[in-house]
Amino acid sequence: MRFYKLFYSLAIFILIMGCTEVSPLISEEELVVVRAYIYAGQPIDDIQLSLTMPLDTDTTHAPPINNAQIFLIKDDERYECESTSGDSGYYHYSGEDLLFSAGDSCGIEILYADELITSQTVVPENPQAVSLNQTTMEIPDFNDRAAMIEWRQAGDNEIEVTWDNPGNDWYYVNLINIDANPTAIDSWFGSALQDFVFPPINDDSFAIRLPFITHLGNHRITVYKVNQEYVDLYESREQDTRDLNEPLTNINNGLGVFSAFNQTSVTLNVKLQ
Amino acid sequence: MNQAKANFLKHIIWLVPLLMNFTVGQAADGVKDIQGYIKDWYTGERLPYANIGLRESSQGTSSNVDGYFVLANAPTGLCSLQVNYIGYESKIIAYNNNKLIDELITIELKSNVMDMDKVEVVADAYEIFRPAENISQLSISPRELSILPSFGEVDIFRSLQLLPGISGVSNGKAGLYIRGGTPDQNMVILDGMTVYHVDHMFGMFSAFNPDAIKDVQVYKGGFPSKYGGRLSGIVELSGKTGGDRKQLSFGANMLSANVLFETPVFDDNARWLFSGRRSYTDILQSPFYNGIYTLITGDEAAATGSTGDIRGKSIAQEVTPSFYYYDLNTKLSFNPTNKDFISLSAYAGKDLLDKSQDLELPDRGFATTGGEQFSTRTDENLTDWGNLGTSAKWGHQWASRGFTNFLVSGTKYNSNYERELSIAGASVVGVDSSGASRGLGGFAQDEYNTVVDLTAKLDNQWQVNQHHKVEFGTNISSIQTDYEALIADSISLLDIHSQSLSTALYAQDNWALGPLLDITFGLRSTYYDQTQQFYHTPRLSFNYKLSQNLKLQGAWGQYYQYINNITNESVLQGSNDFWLTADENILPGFSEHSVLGLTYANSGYLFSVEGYYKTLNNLVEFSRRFQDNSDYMNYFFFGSGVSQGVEFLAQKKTGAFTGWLSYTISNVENTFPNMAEGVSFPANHDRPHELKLMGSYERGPWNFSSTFIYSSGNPYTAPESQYLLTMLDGEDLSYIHVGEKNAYRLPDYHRLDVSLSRNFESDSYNWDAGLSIYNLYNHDNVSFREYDLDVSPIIVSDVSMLGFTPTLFIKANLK
Repeated sequence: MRFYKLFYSLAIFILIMGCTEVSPLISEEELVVVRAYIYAGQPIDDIQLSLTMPLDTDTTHAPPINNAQIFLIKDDERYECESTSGDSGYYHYSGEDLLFSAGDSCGIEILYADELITSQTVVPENPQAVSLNQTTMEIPDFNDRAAMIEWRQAGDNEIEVTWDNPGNDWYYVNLINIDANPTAIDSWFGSALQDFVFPPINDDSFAIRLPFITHLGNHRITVYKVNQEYVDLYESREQDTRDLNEPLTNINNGLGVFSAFNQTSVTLNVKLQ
Repeated sequence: MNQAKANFLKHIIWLVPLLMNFTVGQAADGVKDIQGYIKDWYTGERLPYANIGLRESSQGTSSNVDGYFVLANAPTGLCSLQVNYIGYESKIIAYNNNKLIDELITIELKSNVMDMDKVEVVADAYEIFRPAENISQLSISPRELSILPSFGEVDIFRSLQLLPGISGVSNGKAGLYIRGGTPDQNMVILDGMTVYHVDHMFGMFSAFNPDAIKDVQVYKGGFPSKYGGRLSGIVELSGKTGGDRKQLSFGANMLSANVLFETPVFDDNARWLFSGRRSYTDILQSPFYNGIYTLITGDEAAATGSTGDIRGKSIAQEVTPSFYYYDLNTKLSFNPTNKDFISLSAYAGKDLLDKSQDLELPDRGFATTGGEQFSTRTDENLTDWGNLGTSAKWGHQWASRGFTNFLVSGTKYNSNYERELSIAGASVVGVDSSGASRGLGGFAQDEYNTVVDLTAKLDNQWQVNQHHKVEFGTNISSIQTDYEALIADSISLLDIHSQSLSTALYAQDNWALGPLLDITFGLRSTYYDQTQQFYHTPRLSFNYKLSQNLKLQGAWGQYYQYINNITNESVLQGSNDFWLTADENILPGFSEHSVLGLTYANSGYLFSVEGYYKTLNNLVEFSRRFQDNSDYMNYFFFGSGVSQGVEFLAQKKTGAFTGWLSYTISNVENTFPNMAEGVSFPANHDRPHELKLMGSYERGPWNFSSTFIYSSGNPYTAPESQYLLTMLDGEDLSYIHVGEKNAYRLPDYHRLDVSLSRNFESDSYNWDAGLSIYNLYNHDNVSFREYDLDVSPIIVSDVSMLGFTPTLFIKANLK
């Protein structure tokens, strides 16, 4: 009987002890988030700093950092960037003595709140031998919407863009209508133009199918060669909540990405037959 | 013969003189062997691992897997033999060990009080488990498990989780975490077959029908040389052979029905047993099933809701996944002579889940962002997994003190996941050169994993004299694993094929140094062809009687594991763990166990404390995320771990009220150089405190039992903050900053289950019926914490395990 009493006394004791509550949301220190893009041959104006936000915040704008010191480093020379006007967290380099080209190694140093944040990247080569299987696409002038949909759904109506990729590197493709006032193929598509960006692929071709062609006129198809750190951003989007991992970053003592791009564009004209 | 094989032979050649030395037993005047079989009184079933001892001395032994025993050099004349077997009444028989009569005795045990000459009931033993003679070994009685509160089904593995040192995880699954090891570090053996997938219903129930199992032996550590190939534990299940009389029993609960039939065949020269169990969850979805299904898959078992990217209005669709599982056991056994025992055993178990659904709109299609319309969406989503195994065993008593078992077995494990989403009329907006769809449209994903294990074993026992019991043998296993992950039906993401051969020899001696001390020492040597290396694993254990009731025990051993179960994250939305053999890249896992324990036992109570320290090396973690996929080895992370703890057990074994209380304090830490910056972190299954209570009260035909479990919450990794990044196309993507790996813990886990059952008996049948209630006080135990990262602010929700869940069961036996 004593064992009997001991059993239930312990059960009651543990039951009471087990009633604990913890907050599932954890608020922690702020970290510096870097988003710095270098484009080969282009002015340097796409560097942005912000802070991490608590998980339970309902704001959609990250707190910008406007008072950091930023240096870009090329060939052991340091070039100080300036904060762009406004409360945006953007920085630029105003001099004309700093341009990056393919193969250049580029470093960044950020000093903020007594913390030193650093990173390094290399400007990639621009994509070679970029071409389209057709530079002009002629679309039948449909009077019947059903016939248009059927034509668009046919599997062989596509624009194939190809490039050389002997090193199995990563690229992504961007499609945008560049006419000032393009005409929609059908009123179904409305007047809004869309800027389609496909996720990075390590391939040497990509077939753009017709649902992306919604307007007539000139389209720019740009193939960007990207570095692994930018690809990692997409890869880090997949998160299993039962086994969270820190998103990949090439920023030391901070979060985000510092990357460089090089690109080649071709033009596609879409017109009615 | 290559150099490696020559070395192998050289390494084991020392065994020969050892074995030669023990081949002849020394018969002295005034002594004679006692040998025989232990059987069930009612069914005639032979009982393995029963303890047989002489009351006049400390001499004792145990029956082998076929129920055979030999007490070497027992004194001649009248003596008392005491026999203990879990789930049966202990029994003392008076036996005249006459030197002139050479006989094989049969000792029959039963659970009811017997009114027989020369028989005395020692105790009303009503035990679910019993610590065996060896440290860290437990014997479990499947026939007693039905008194435990159950989770819809009487479940062997779920019941094992109530024992000290064996945990489940907080998601309520049936997997066994033995002393900080993961379930794949346990070898599960059914009638000599290695079983690779040991559960049903996504891990909620173990895959073994308890009605078809007569004995379960669990080794939590320090296991002997006979066993190898796993780092943490051994669970050996012996299936029923079928008895000497025809029996039919059947049962049902809220998930499944089962039947068992056993009968003598071939003019009573052989016995045949068949058992089957099938869930009817594909036909009848009870609220209990729906609760389990939702808990495991996160989906509603029968859900009505909007589906797909539907522009303009919500469209209701009812989806009823079809799920069921089954397992079958059959066994044919016979004795061609009184010294030979042959059995053929087969097992098949399978789970099938069909989550396919079609959605049609006759008058209006869906619209993609490109403006296309479609009218039919077909989602074919099929998963099945299971085992098929068979074994043939020949047991031969080639001398009164020598017994050999030769076994060949084949096991095939299959896991298949196929999903194809096709949208009639929809356009795929982009296709890369491989043909893989990009953007909108349909997709196809498939994963296949197969393990084929062909094994031959030769196990010999030789009771040299009353001081030495030698066991030696060999084990040859050929294991083939295939894992393939495909997209778009033909594009291979991963295609891993391996074929391995391991050849092991082992020998051990149990040496009784006197009435107080015995030691067991042995060696298992394995040649593994994938690494072309020998792996020598010495083992040592001892028992020292400090007094009649107090015993000091210890064990030490080294272990290798040549196959890993890779836990695959649900990147392709499947439940897709897979098996992979070790090779020169994924090295065999290694562990070292050190165990020390003290046990006090008398006829009514048992108290024990055991401490253990286990190191683990070459642990493997797998992640497809964030890795360069040009080489699949990039997906693997390698590390080490340390598991240590102390287990306390108090057990009341007799009387109307029986039960036990166990408490374990432990710590499991892993270190992976390429994870968490190489800093040690608590393993996912680390639970520092675990308390378990089980009580059973028997009054007439009624039984009331209750179990209570309290444990620390599981560790988990949590996001600590969030941030935004603008991509090249201007899109803002949100990311989370993650805290240290497994730095946080879920709330503590506790649960009280109760069960009430009654036995009805007549001349022609007996049957049991009862009610079991899981989580009586409906405590909200957290299975895992989910973060919706796509909204701001991030939504955090706790996914809970099952709450208050009553279930009914019934089981009938026709006599």
